[in-house]
Amino acid sequence: MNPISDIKRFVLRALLRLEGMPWPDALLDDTVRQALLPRPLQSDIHQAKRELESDGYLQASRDELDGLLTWTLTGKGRHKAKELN
Amino acid sequence: MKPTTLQDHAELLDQWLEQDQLSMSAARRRLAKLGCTVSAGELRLWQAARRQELLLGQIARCARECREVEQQLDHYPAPELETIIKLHRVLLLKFSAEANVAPEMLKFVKELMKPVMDWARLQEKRKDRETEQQRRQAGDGDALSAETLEKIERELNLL
Repeated sequence: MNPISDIKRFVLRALLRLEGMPWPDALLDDTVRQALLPRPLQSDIHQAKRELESDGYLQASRDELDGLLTWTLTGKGRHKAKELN
Repeated sequence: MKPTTLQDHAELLDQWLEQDQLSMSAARRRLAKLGCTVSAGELRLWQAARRQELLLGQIARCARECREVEQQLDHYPAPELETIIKLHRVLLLKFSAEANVAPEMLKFVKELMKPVMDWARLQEKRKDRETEQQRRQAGDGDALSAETLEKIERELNLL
């Protein structure tokens, strides 16, 4: 199966479990690396996140104070993630 | 021997593959002795799905812990608490990203937050007491109301 599709599915399912809590970018990458076998490439993880964002499933936000980048699901993303669960 | 499925040996497989880092062929040989004959591909697919399910369960548990703490501290929006809450959240999410985190670790992090919650509760009580005191003073005929006091101070150029 296409590794990017696998990453996208996992990211959506995992973010749904957080119920709206923002997920720091680096931790999300770590989790994806732990979850998938074989271990995905960092470039694939980045591409998957970028595509999910441009397709309107994910929303990135950067904290003004510390510059921390976090991810949350959009309404569309929540809907899709529920279908995958 | 009665044939068994991979799911029947889920916990054993977690230990073999995740903790003991047993090879696929060694795990398959052991499984066969337990009456479960599977191909390497099947076992690999099962392991991938199992790992995801375990991590998703862990993420949900950590998120629940975060929410519990954040809800309890919700009514006390002090900036220093915000920082601690954020730190606690990152710590728990970091644990959620690690395979096979012992449940004791989550309990340990929860214990760490107890003094913070006690402190917030104390602050809340203190605030209530101060409000009550102000209210009583304002209602007391002999005492000056806060408004009068402010007026006097303004007239005396104290402010």
